[in-house]
Amino acid sequence: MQLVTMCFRNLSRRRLRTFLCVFGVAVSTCFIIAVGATTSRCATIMTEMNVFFRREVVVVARGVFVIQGFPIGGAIPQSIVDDLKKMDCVEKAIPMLSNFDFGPSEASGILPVNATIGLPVEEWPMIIGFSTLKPGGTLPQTNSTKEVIIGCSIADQYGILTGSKINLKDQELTVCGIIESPSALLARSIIMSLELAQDVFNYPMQINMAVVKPKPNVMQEELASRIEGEINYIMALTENERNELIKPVLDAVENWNMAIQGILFFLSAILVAIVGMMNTSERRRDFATLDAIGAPLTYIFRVVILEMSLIGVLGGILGIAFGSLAALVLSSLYTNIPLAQFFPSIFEIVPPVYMLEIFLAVVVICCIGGIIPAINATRIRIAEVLRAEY
Amino acid sequence: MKIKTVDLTRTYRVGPSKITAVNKVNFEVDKATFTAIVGPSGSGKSTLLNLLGLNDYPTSGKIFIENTDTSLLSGRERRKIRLFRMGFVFQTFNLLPTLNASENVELPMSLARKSSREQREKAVRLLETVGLGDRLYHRPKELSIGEMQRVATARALANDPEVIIADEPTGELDSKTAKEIISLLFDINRKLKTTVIVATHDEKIVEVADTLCTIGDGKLKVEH
Repeated sequence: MQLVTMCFRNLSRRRLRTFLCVFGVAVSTCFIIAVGATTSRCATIMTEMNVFFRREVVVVARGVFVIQGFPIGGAIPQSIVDDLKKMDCVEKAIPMLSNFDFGPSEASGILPVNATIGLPVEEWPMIIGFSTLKPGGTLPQTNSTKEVIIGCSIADQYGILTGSKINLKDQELTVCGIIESPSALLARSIIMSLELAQDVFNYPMQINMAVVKPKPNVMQEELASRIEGEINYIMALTENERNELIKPVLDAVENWNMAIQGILFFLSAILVAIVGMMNTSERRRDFATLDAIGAPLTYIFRVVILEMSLIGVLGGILGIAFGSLAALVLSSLYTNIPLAQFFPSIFEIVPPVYMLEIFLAVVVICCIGGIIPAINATRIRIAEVLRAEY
Repeated sequence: MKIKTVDLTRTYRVGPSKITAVNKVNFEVDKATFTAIVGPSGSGKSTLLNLLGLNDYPTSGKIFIENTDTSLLSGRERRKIRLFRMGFVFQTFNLLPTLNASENVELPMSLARKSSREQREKAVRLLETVGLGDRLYHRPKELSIGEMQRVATARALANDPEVIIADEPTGELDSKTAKEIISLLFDINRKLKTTVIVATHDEKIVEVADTLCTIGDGKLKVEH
C-alpha cells in the first residue's frame, strides 16, 4: 500500500496531538512569513529610495537623518543651488523639497505612508523615470501651477481620478495625472512643483535637498568632497555613502529576521521531535512487528520521517496562507492603507519564491526534527518489545 | 527449511543477576515438519522462537539455516530471511492497527517489492483461504480475536515462507477458534509443505505435531 496513506492514517490515530503539532508548525511558519515579508518589503523600499539618484550626489543639511537619497526634515537655503551650479565640476543641480508622512502613529511608523516631493516641473522625469501616467493624465507645464500628480496607490485608496481636487494642508490642488508604477515610493507619492511644495509646507525659499549631477569624468567622491569644502553646513552624500548610511539598518533588519526565523525553525524542530518521540514510543510494538516481518530499517526510518514531513507540509501550507494574510495586515497597519488594496499585490508583498523557500525549509526542518524519533524507531529490539507484551 | 541449533544459549541480565532463558539447546527441525515446543510460562519458549526466527541474537551457540551459520549474517541478510523465508504468528497478533485486513496481508509483499496487483490478488486469496473473504476492508479493531489471528496467519503466508514460527498462536483464543487456527496451521504444513514451529500450551497442537519438544529452565528435551 502507499506509504503516504499509511503515514496519514498513523497520524490520524492521535488526531489532537497531530493537530496541535501542525498548528504549532503553522504558527511558526505564519510568523516567519509575516515578519520576513514585512521586513523584506521595508528593506526593499528603503533600497529602492536610492535608485532615483544613481551616479548623483545628494546635498542635505548637516546632521539630518537620511534614508537613502531622502532626508527626513532639515532645511537649506535654495540659494545653495546657485552656488552649486557655479562650480566647474557640476553639470546640473536640482533643488528639491521632500516631505514624508509617517501616518497617524508617527512614532511607530517605520516607513512613510505618503511622500510629497517638490521639484521644478522640467526635472520631473528624474523622479518619474519610465513610469507612465494613467490615460488622460498630463504633466504640468509651469512651476506656478497648483497641479500635482499622485501615485496609483493613493488614487485607489481615496478614489481619486485625473482631474479630481484634493486638499493638502488646507490648499486645494488639482490632480493632473496618476502615476502607474510598481515602485512602492512612487505609488504613494504626491509630486508637485518646488514652488507649490514650498508654499504648501511653508518652506519659503528653502529646500531640504539638492541633487547634483557631476560633469563627465568627475567622480562622485571628488564632487562631494569639493562641495563640502566650498559650502558650509551641508553634507554631500555619494551613492556609496548613502548606501553605507542605511546599511546598518538593513543589516539589523536582516539579522533580526534571521534570528527570528532561526528561533522559530528551532522551536518547530523541537516540537516535531517531541511529537515524533511520543508517537514512536507509543508504537514500539508496530515498529517491532515491521522489523520482525523483515521490513528494512530504511523503511521504518522512512515511515517516521514521512510522518513528520507530512506535519511539515500541512503546517507549512497553513502557515503560509495565514502568514501571507498577516503580512498584508501588517503592511496595512504600518502604512494606513486599507487591507483590500493590498490583496491584488499579495505576491509582491509575499513573493511566491519566498513562499516556496519557507515551505521547503519548514518541511526540511520537520524532517530533521523527525531524525531522532526515526533512529529510535529503528533501534527498537524486537525480542524485548514483543516479549514485554506477554 | 531445515533449522539446526548447536549449544544455543541466551542469557539476560536482570539487575545484578543473570537469567539463562535458553541453555545449550541442541536440536534440529526438519523440512515440512510440524514441531511443537511446550513448557510453562517463563520456561524460554518465546526466547527460543525469537532466536530461531532471527529476531534475537544468541549469547553463545549457533543457529544453522540450511547449513548457513546465521551468526555470520548481517542484519540486512537476517531481515531478508525473515521477509522471504519466514512467517511469524504472534500470540497478540501484532496486526498494524491503521491497516485493514487486506493491507496487513499485503504489507510483507509490498516490502518484498511485489507488484500492487499481485499483492492485492494474493491478499484476497489468502484471506479467503483463512475464511475472511468478507472481511477484507475491516481494520483489526473491527475484527474478533479469532479473525485477527487468522489475518495474522494469512500475513505470515504472504511471501510463501519455508517456515512459520508461531508463538502461542492460540493463547488468546477460545477453544473453538483455537481449534480452527490449529487446523489452519496443520493444513499449511501438510498442503504447502511449510515447516511449522509452534510454542504452545495447547494440548491439541501437541496431538497433531510431528515432533514434540519440552522446555524447562531453558533446557530443551525432544519427546518424540
